[in-house]
Amino acid sequence: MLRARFRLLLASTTLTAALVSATQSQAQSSGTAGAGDTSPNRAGKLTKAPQLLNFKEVEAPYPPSERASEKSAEVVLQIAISDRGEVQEVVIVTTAGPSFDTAAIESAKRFKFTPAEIDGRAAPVKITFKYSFEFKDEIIDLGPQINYSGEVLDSTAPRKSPRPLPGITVTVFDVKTDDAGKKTRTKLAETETDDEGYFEFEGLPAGTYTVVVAGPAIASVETEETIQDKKGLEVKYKVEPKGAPDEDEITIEVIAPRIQKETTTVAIKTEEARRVPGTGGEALRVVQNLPGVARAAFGSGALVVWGAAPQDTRVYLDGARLPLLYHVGGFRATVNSDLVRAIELAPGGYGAEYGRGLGGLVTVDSRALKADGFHGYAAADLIDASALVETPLDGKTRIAVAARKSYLSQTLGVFTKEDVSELVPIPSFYDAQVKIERDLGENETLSLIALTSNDKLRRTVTNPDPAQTISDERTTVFHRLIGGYRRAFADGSSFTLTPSIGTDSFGYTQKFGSTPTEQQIDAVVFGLRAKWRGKVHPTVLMNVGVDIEGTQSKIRRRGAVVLPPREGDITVFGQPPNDVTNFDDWNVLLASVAPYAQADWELFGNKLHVVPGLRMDSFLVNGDKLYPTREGTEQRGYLRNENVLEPRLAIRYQASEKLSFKAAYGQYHQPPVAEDLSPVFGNPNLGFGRATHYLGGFTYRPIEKLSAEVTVFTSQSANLSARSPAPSPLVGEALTNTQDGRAYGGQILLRQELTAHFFGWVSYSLIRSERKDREGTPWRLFDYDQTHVATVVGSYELPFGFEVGARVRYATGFPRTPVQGAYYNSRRDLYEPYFGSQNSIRIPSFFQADARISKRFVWPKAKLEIYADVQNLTNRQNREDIVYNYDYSVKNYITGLPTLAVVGARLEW
Amino acid sequence: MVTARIAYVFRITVAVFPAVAAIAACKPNFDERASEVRNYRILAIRAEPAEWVKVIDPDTGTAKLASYSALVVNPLGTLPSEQLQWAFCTLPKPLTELNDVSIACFEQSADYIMSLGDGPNVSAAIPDNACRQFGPDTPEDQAYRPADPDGTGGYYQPIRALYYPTDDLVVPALGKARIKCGLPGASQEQTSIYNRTYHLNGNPTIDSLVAIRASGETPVVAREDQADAAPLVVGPSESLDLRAAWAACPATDACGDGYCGPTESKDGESSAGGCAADCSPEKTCAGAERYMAFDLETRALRERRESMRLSWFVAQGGGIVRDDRTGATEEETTVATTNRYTAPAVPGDYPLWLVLRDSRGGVGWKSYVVRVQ
Repeated sequence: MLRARFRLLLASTTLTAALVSATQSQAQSSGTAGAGDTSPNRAGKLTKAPQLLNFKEVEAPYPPSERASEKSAEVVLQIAISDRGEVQEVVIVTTAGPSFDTAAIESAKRFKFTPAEIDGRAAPVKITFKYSFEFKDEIIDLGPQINYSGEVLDSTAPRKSPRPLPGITVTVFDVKTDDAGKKTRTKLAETETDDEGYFEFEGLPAGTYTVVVAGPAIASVETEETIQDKKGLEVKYKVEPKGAPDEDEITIEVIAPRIQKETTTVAIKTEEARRVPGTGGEALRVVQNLPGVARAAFGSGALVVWGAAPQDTRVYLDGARLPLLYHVGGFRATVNSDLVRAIELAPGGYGAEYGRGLGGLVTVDSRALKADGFHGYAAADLIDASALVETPLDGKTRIAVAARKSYLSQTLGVFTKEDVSELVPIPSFYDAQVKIERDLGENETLSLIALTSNDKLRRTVTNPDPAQTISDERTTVFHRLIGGYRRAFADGSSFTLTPSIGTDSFGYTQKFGSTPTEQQIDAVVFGLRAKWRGKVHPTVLMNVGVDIEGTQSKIRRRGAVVLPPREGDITVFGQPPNDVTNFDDWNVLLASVAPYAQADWELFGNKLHVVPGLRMDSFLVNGDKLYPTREGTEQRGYLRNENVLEPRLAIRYQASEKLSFKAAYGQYHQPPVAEDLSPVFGNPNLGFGRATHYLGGFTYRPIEKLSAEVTVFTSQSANLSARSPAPSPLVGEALTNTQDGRAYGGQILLRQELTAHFFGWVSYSLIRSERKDREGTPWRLFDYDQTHVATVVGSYELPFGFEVGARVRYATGFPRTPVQGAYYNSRRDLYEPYFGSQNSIRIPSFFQADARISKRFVWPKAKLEIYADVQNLTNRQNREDIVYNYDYSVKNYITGLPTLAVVGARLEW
Repeated sequence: MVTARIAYVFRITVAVFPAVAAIAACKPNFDERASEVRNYRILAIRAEPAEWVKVIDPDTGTAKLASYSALVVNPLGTLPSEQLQWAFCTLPKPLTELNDVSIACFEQSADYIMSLGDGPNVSAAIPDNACRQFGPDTPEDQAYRPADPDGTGGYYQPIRALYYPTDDLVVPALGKARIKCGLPGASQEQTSIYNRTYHLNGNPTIDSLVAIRASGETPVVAREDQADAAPLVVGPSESLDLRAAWAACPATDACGDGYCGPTESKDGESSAGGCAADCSPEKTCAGAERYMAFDLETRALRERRESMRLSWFVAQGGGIVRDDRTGATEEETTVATTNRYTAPAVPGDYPLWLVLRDSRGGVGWKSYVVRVQ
């Protein structure tokens, strides 16, 4: 084991000549009027010099780009100060180079002075200011500091390409020996290495300690370290992997609300997420097991978050909206997990940076690409095959390419004689991503992501009865080009610009007998997100920006106005569709510009965070059809503008080291979807749905890595679109904004984060979601209501590279409307049901146990994992939906999959 | 109550990397089949004429009536259906309901239930506002959304039939009388052509039923054609093919062929499609008729052909038909359809019903007797 020590280097910027006397300044100004003396009172006498008030708060750091030079520098500035003490202008008098000049100017612009007085009256003045930068190798007592830090590296990696080991636990023990010679070991602190293998401890008292470095992928090692008073210790631990460390870990984070990530998020690392049984090795699917998320109906992959409709929860990749998080069926994510740094699910109450959705928010962040050589993976299982390669192109540019292709329909065909696709549509999908990243400067990066996702579902059921011949084809294709520019400034602020453009294409073509149901949506989507984030005050962190999004949609639809069914439609599984038909094609532009501002205000010594935010969304709805097409009549379009203000507020209070409280409130608006703006099938005048979220809760961390989080919430929504209940609705009013919604409940998450051998969590959500279709009707259960959802996940690492895990899930069944009888429809030769009270019964509860076993093989330059993900261990026949016989006199259930093993292998290098 | 049998519709065993994966989809099969008559049932409702347009009788000065009848059965055979109650429902269906008619049509309300009387058949004129309630016509001063047509461009007046075999049992059924209305969104010229070349639908007729064995074909005579017709004699558990045929309609129009086709009209020169011989009055065909329809997507008139659908019914214990329904699509020009019939093992006489429907709402039926001996 190699151990290195180093000196604590503190780059310090000091003010050596804070203020030249005002008299001098005045004299200097007076004498050098050509240099810009703008004092309005040249003849007066300076009676009070301006005093700098906030140097410490805005002090410029030593420029990182100059650290290697370790040189000292002085920048002489001329600062114009207003009669209120505000800095109006900063001019370089003596330069010290671009880095020092920029740092000095940025700092000086934020100076605050006491007003100068001339002849006893406040007056504007100019001063000369010398800003000195010194590189010091010194120790400054600034309170608790990081005094023990370092990296954990793979000792088998080439010396020139050090390989950091993330997720390694570093524990500091204080070992005491009593008089009898017996040693007692007390844990002082523990932490875990980050993506770069880095760890740090703050404020360790001086002394000699035993340090244990341990992790699932390495052999535990132990050493002694000595912390000296007022001195820092930095180390590098090189350890030999015994298993397969996840070098490209991502983080799955759940925030509720997103107030301050450090205390209100639950982070589940990729190495955990991939190992969660039932996910088939797809890290992003772990979201489906988190509290607040309903269990999706079999094969749907829909995200139902806090009782909101799936389409109300929006998904973003690096700030650009994606139409889908999962491929059809929910087996895989549309973005390769290995390109993702973090995914955050905010079930509600999120901040002003995002909007246009009434439900939850899923933000996916791509990771930085590796610069240390050629890496990648290849994986295959029963469902699909995928691969990723990444490499640096030069010292500043890196590229990664990933692709996935499913072959489930083919693999099923190999093992069954029956044409499975006639009975159950088997999804076929592929996706691909390319990411290029270039460093423009030390703190400036440019990136470009191109991605494509394609889903196809096809089924044809032939029947001697022409009315029973079914064909069903659905395609979902989207492409995105997402740019990213990020610059971090010396003062800690940052600017991010994310332009994006792409296309969406959603189509379904169904034919039930001679009854067609078709819809094709082709859209061009574009967006631009600009954000500045930085401190405007020592206690105030601002996040301001603008979020622009637009969708130009071209839509063609044919079929019954009541198809496909919407939320609130009373129907039963498998009911033949209505055979009335209509047709429309229309174009809609939905665009919105939303400036926003959000402040994170620290109070009471960082114990209390108050995060107010405000977002103004200005929507534009432009359609080409206000009325159904009529030969000989000129069509009229429409253009509407609607502005909404959305206040948001979040509060977090750190009551103690172990206990924190949180609360949030927010207003949200959602524009109508383009497919609802048809004058034939929908309503071109549909308004905006709106919702208000309230939530509160606390997090308790009794010991390191063990936490309990409790959140309660309520969401009130109104103006939701629903079918017109009128027997004869007006033209262009097949849909109306008459529906209200409400959801309320709570969730608990008890979680043990990854330790040496174990991780797991227990989550439980109690959520009630209801709808009121129009004024005067009673509240009813929402179609996606799932009152109880409980999940237990655990994984344990065994010797010799083996690991076993289990997951147990319980969920209330979705509501359904009981069939009370049926009449015979002679024209169509079928029975049609009549119903009881809407959503007054439920599908029986879901219960399932899954298990996962894996074996890892690790070589110096590669590792291989073989796993079996066994779903439904107990072979329980879970009921997924209710079906009836031909005349609705007998009820039965569609049941879920029996025991199913998804076997796969993954090779990484 | 019949207990449903759960059957896995597919089961797959997968061996990959020596592990085993098994998938079974999970759709239940039901014992009950639509072709099996287990209790009182209404199998069909027929309007005559099959498509309504208001025609004033010059003798009476009132609208000519349409008659409505039903095929009512139980496992023992066809019933006289004296206990049928007939009514029009005048309430449009709200978009919040996915069925063919408003469920309120099966409630009792004088506001929208118009009684037509009781008995095996009734006669009535369609309400004058039917095209407004169930079709594309809307009052000029009120911008109501026009009703959508079915796939053939048709609109229908709902007819409710309630059969009361006993005092405490009711068998509900919905009939729909096709009504000729205007075209939604069409130009005046298109409407004019349509009115000239769209001809009212005629009910289809089952022309023949033939039992096919290796030894040869045996015609089966329907009870409607001959009350004392000889039954089809089969052996216990014998399987044989049954072929039902309907009339062959002319594939192209020719004046004088006895069928008023979509390129013909009662007025005008023969060179322009005028054919009084076939179209005054309009002569229909008892098979898959061709008709003129307005395509909502292309917004053009085009000629189409009816699809045909034959429903097979046997009494519980009276044998099994392989397929509940057979037929011909719009593209298929066949005039017959075949099904496999397996006789019961127990000797006796068993009923067999065939109901033929065209896609424009026309209905015809025949009843047969199968003797197992």
